[in-house]
Amino acid sequence: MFNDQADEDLMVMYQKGEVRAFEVLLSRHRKPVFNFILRFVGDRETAEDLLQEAFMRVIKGAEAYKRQAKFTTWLYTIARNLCVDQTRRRKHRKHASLDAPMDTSEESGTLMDVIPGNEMASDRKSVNKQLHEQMQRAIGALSEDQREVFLMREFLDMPFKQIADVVGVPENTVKSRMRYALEKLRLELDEYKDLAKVAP
Amino acid sequence: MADEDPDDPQLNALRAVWLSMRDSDEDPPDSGVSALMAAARSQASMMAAAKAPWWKRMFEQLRRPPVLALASLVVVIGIGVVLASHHDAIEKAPTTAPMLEKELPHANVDVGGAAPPAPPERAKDDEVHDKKAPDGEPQVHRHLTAPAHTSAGRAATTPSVQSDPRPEPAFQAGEGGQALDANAPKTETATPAPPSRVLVDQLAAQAKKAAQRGDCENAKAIATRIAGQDAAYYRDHVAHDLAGCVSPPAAVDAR
Repeated sequence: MFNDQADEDLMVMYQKGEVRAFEVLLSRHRKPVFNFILRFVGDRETAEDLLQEAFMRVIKGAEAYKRQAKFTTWLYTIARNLCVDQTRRRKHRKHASLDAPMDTSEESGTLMDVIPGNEMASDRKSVNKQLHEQMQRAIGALSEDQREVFLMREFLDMPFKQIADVVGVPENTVKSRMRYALEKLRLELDEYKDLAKVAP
Repeated sequence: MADEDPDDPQLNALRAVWLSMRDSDEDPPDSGVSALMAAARSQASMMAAAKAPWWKRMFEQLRRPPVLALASLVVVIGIGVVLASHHDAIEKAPTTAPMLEKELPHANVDVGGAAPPAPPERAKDDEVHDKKAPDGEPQVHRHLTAPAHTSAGRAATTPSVQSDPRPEPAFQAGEGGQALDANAPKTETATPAPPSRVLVDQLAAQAKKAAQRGDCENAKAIATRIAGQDAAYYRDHVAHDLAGCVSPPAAVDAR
């Protein structure tokens, strides 16, 4: 009964006291929201905390929810704002990042390249895994504005209009940020283009 | 994407990479789910209560301890007020009874049904009369009617004595069904039956009342009747009470 309902209907049912409706919403969106946050902040532990906080805010704000609003827009707005706050806090702390270069020279590697470990070494044997890592690194190198647009567009299949609603900017601005993000990724992953072509 | 070139081979290759990354999405840990569901349940009950109809919300409010305490206080005060007013009504009741007695002077013979409470004086007299009843004779209650085998008994049982507004009908029925009134012819010459104590009591009471009203003529007539019935009773009970109004009949003096 609940599984066939739209998100918005489930939210209205939850407002009327149907806890089962919220349970369905949670099971439906927990995984995509978690991976969105994880790719945004790049840290699993932080992503778990932010996921919990995001759904807690959904619960607290459920009473004010209006049926006209798209549930995923509301949910990803909450998640995106949490991610933005988190990355800003992290910048202030100036912690060393695993993805950050160890010195200013462009040829130097990252921390991930020098951390020994059987798991990491075995992963690098896989071409796909290598490509994924490079892709993740390239995404992390995008600016915050470009990264959020890219993640929502390519990983969540959101229309530009909805992304504009989530980010709170005009739709054309979103398209522009997306174009810059793709261009930057193309440059970052240029050396892997041959691998990408042969990858399954 | 409208702003992208769908024929760009390099971009298509890169898209294939990140699309394959979607397949390897990680599952979040289940550790926080129980906490989320507990919070969701709490919020759901709050939202359901807020959306309940007004009477349901009012009922919920009434069930809260402060409101229950206030309601209990109101009930206790209400009971106190009711008891106090009832107490006042009880205190006022004896003062109204004599008024009724004055308004209805013929209410001295009550026949069946509920009788108004007798004034203290009258009750006292009755008590005295009952105590002085002859030995072996059963005490006769004031509300007892005349013997049922007589026509007088049947007449005495007729109601509406209290509602009769005529002044002093004296006595309702006598022996043999004759009306006993002050103006009625004397029946002393008739063969006297053993005097009924009830009859004599009633006559004495009526004579006393007539004397109290100042109706000495009537009182004298009744006193004569009593003396004819029972001279000893007259001396003991009636003569003293009617001393200021009635001189002892000659028959009594003679005895």
